[in-house]
This record gives sequence, structure tokens and C-alpha cells, in this order.
Amino acid sequence: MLFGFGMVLVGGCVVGTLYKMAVGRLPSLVAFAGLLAGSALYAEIHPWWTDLARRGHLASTVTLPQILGLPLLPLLAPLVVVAGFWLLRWARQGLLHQESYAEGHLQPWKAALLLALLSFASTLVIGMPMGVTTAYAKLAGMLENLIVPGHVANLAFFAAEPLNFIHPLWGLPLKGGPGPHLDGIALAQFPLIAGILCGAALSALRLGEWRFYARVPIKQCLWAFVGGTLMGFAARMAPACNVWHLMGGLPILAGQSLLFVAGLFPGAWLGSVVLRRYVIC
Amino acid sequence: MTATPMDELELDIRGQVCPSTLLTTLKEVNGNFDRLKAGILRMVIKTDARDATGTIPPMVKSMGFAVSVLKEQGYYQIVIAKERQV
Repeated sequence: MLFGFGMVLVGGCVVGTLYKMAVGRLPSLVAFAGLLAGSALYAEIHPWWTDLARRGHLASTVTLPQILGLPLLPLLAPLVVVAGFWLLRWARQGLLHQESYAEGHLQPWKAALLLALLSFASTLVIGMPMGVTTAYAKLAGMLENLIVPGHVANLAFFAAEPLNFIHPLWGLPLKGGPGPHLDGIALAQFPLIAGILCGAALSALRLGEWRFYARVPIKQCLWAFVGGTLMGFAARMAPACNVWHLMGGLPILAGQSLLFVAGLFPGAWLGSVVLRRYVIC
Repeated sequence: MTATPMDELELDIRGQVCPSTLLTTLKEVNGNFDRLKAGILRMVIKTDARDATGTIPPMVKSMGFAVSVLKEQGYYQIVIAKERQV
């Protein structure tokens, strides 16, 4: 819910912020600073939150089929068929086509297919879907380490290494966490972040649309920072962001992802209420 | 017959991101609704938010206005007016 709320105030998610920042949008640059701040803020309450989460533990397994003790395919197959039916119906009604006058506009359904292929490739190559928020926490830790290294060394969050597995296909180990040093998370996520930034900037330059305007209402920038902080904070609580949950966890019916998605909608609605009432007024 | 001169209101929202672009435009359109409907005002919006070129036109069309979108140097110009006056 917190994530959805922050997302609307920022005008984009953790990846949307990256590519909008890369093409010169000031509110997104401010939101990115908020994302780092939110991640750093979370580090302060990490022991309290993990303790609370452990006490509210609903199941010891990850996916809904595992929780129900059923195989994945019989649960997933009918959902895929129903989703496919609706997509085909919408396509026939022309509802998948989005109106846009933007030069070089890529239809969302094509972008979705490309993203799905990228996500599949990511899982195949490194054994996990695309994600960026642990890298944000790592960047926040690195910056904080420059100012208060003693304090960072004392925070349990930055010492944790939640990523620790062997790739089932290649047998390669991948280990890491949000700590302020280079590790498996840096290997998996830093190139992705760099790629998104470069790709977006190049795309905008090619279209002649790279511009930096500083004349943005201060209220929008302030609320973008608040939204970014909330998103960064929430992404560590969940953990992970909409990219990870929607494209990684949801297709395998991971319980955490189902809950995350359910919370997005009321959170986003609340964010839009605040945006209309306090930001654009 | 001489045409009634039309006022033009420029809304420069370059640098802003969606959904603020849509909401800001909606606020200005609502604030100048009567003059727009009477055909004595035309609104020219300058935006560099690509999403806005897909959300603003349908919104103002559903309010009964005509809209045109042109790409200028590094931004998009959206003109909102009464029918046949874009």
C-alpha cells in the first residue's frame, strides 16, 4: 500500500523513476534521492520490522501452490488460459491499442512482451527476475558509509546477505545483500540500472527529446521526494518492488507478490487523492 | 464577416511528469471551461511528457473539445479549443 501511494506521488515506479531521470526530469531525480533516503531510513528499523514480519508469518512456503500443497501447473494453467482469452478479446475490440502522438511510440502490449522476454532471460542467466531495489539500498549504504561508516557497520540490515543460492542450471553461486560493497547483488542489479539509464538517455537523444527543465513547481518536487522515500522504504519492507513482484513473483503465484499487488491498488488510489488535493491545487 | 478574435492561454508544463501533467491540464481546462466552450479561448499546452500525449487528448475529447498534437523542438504542443478551432 505504501509503495502504491508513493508511486502515484512520484509519477512512476522504481524503474520509471530511473528512465525519467535519465531523460532530464527533475521530479524523477528528486524522487531517486528519496528512494535512496527511504532505503537508508529502513535500515534503521530493519530489526524491528523483521521481528514483526516473523510474528505475522502466514506460511513457511513461498508460492500459493506450495502453501496449498498442490502442483503449480494445474493452478496456473487455467489462469493463463483465462488471461489469454481476455487478452485476445481485448485485441479483437482494439482495446490493446493505446492512443499516443509521441514520436516512436511503442504499444504497451509490445513492450510487455519484450519485458517478459527480458525477465525470462534474466531468470535463465542469473537465476532470478529483474530487480533494482536492493541495489538502491546498497547505493544508499555506500553513500552513508562515506559520512558515518561506524553507524553503517552497526546496522544489521547492511550486514545481511539474503541472496544466497546456486543456479539450478549452471551451478554458479550468487550471494549478496544490501551491504555497501560489491557482491552478487551489485553484479545482478548495477548493470541493469546502468543499462536502463543509458538506454533511456540514448533513446531521448535520438528523438531530440532530452531536456532538463528546472522550472517545475516546488510542491511537485517536494511530494516527489516524499513519494520516493515512501517507495524506497516500502520496497525494503515488502521486500522488492513492482517489477520483481509483478513480473517475477506473480506469474508463479508467490504469496508475498499476491499480497503486494493487492495492496498496490488502495495505495495508488490514496496517492491520487493526495495528489489532487494537496499537490495540484 | 470578421471572425471573433480568440484569446490564447499558454500552459508550459515542460519538466513535469505524469500524472501531474494530466491533473494540471484538467485543472486549467476546468478553470477556463466556459471560455473554451464559447470558442473565445484556445489553450496551448507545452509538454515533454510522452505519456501526456496519450492521456490529455482523450480526456479533453471526452469533455467535448477538439485537440491537436504537434511535435516541436524537443517537446509536444497540445492545442485545445472548441470544435474546428484547433
